Amino acid sequence: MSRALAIAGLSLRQAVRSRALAVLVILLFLCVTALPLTIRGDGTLSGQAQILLSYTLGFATLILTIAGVWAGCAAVSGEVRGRQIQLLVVKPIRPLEIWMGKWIGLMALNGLLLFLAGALVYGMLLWTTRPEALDADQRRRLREEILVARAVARPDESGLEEEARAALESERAAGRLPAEADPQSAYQTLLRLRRLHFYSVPPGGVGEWRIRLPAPPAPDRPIFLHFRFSKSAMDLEAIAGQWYFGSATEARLGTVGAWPPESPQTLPVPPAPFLGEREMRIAFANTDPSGATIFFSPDGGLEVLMRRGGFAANYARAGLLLFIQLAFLSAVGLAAGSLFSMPVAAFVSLSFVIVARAAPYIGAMAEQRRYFSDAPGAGLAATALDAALRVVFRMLRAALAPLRLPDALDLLAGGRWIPWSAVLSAAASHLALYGGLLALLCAAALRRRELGLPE
Amino acid sequence: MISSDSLLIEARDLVKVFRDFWGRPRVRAVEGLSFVVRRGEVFGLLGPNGSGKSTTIKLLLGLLHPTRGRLRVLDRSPRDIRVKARIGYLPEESYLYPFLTPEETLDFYGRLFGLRARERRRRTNDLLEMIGLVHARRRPVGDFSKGMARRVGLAQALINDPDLVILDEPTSGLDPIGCRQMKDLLLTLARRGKTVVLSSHLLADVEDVCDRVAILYNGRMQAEGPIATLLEEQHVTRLTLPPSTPPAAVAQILEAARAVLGGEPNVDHPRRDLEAFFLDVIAKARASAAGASGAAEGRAVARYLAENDPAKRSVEPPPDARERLRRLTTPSEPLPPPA
Repeated sequence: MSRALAIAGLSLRQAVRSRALAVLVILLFLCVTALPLTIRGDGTLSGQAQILLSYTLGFATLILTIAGVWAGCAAVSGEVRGRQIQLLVVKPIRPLEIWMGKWIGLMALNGLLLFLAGALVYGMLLWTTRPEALDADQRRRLREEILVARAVARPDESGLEEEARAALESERAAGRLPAEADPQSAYQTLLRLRRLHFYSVPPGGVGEWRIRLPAPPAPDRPIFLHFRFSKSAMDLEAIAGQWYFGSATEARLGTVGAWPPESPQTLPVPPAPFLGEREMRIAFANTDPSGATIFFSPDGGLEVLMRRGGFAANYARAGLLLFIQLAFLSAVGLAAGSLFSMPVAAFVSLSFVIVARAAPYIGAMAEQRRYFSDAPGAGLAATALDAALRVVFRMLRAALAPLRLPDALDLLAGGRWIPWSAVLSAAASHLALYGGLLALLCAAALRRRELGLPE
Repeated sequence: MISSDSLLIEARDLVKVFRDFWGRPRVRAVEGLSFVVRRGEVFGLLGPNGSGKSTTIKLLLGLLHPTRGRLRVLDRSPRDIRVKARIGYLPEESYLYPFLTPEETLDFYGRLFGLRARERRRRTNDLLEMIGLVHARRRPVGDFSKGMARRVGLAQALINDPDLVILDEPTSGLDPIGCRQMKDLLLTLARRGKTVVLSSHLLADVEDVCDRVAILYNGRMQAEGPIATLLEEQHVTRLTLPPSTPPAAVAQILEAARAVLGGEPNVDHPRRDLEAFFLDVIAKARASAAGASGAAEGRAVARYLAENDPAKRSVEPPPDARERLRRLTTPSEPLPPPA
């Protein structure tokens, strides 16, 4: 371990003495201080705070990601090119120690820079939201909705799976399920339909959901309903309706109003009806005059948020998640640099970063069945191409799925609780498991590689 | 018969073929090379550029893997970490980190050998003194001349007090003083029981310090053996008279030789080599100019390297080296007249 730490110290020393680090620090400083001035928010202080948390910290993380991957690529391939590695590997040090030392050095550097950027953003956040700059309502909103860590609770869907299974049996018994149909695929389709139905409210109807709260409501733990819906009609007029909030046994009228479709909405929930209870009922009466059916998005279109903890600790956990992400990506760069020359390593690892960032798009594409064969006049070739593309997208989705981490910045900007379990799980998977696998792979490659080859 | 435990390096029928990206053979750098290096020996690999010297050295260090053949270093594979702990290596170019100072460089490599901080400090100080770079210990190596960087490279090769020292073109980039110091150091190491393998295309380097040499050409062994045996001309005899011999005695001896040989014997005066003359001139010049911009005069060997000398417990340079060092360190002594 002491040899790995010697290598880590060397990497840090190299970074500290290079001009690149000074440029990076200046770039981060400019990003954190100047970027908020160039982005127009919604004019509110809470909007400005969200810009700082989401865009500024996001851009700083992007800069650090690119720098970390680049530094990772150069860490080994640069030494192979400069031949310093020849003097290193003839010493009594194992390839695994060299790799781990380089990674620890990169992680320390990433950690320092992220801490610097995070501290700057936090400082600006405190300055922007200083009490004397806000009125009472703004202060309350910031305290309750943004500079807070809120737990999220969603409607209980536990009965849906049972319903989907029963429907599958019923279809099968009625002989409506084709013999060649895949039962699992049919079940998933039925479950999806059940969920869509569960979150839809017909015209003049009432949708009702039960939600188990993370803690009993209390006066110091305000509750908010977060929803996003759409309607079957093609217009973009606000959707009229009535919200009811209540305990498990009694529902009460909460709010009457109209809300624009396709945009996230937040409503304060009066805690009085269910103080001290862990379960609440919410209902929505569709009174929209258009006669359209209302659809809440099954994926986070209906949520209840409740204060769980303070902002500073949540900010620290978000920082840890970002650090784990940066450390993993620098390991990818380091692995590429251990296997390939610098230009190839940079191409491979930056491609990986881009593909990993496009994971949601890849997931959506993998769900699609047709890409080209829908076009008029598309022939057999288009169908074959569709099949091949689907396989590629599914393979990519399967490969990227374990690499997905919670979007720390999105959660932070939405004032949502980042659980310690998410941080620990990310550390276990991305640092211990994947980092360890990359370390072993690269150590084996370095052991086999002839580092004294002439150019 | 050589006992196997006296062999530090054993190479049998080594072949190294460099291949291109597609795995096709490109160059046969070493072809059927066999040799042994015994404990305490200074072994030279001699040959023109491209003869396979550096490839052989990289095979010994595990930086390249033999295509065929058997290679044992310290009775193990050269890639064994226990072997690496006992080797000191000076590459052909000093592949040092340019952002580190000599002090940091030695400390870093010392840490890789698992030396404790106190021991690293002691050895670093000793080695910096030996290579004459105490005054530049906090300057980045990247600012150094090639010769100064080479000295740092040598120091890092000795930080672990190695049993086997492998030097690729050790005098490359060094001035004549540095060359002489390098040779004296090698002799000192050999006398301490260290084994030294060096490669060079400079014949004088090898002749001065090596016990045995192998001459390579096109990756093949052309000749191998002790220097004295290889260079000895059995059919020629040289008679050297002391400087105090009276001219009349010389004339008498020549006359007798003519009578016995029935012809004129070859008569000439011995000459000092240019290196010895150069060292004398520099010693004189140093007396009048105390400051030096590059490497200062160092000690012959680092203290810690001299500590365990089995022969003397304190390092004594060999007689010719001792004389040269004496003249370098006492510049006020008048230079002898040129021959």
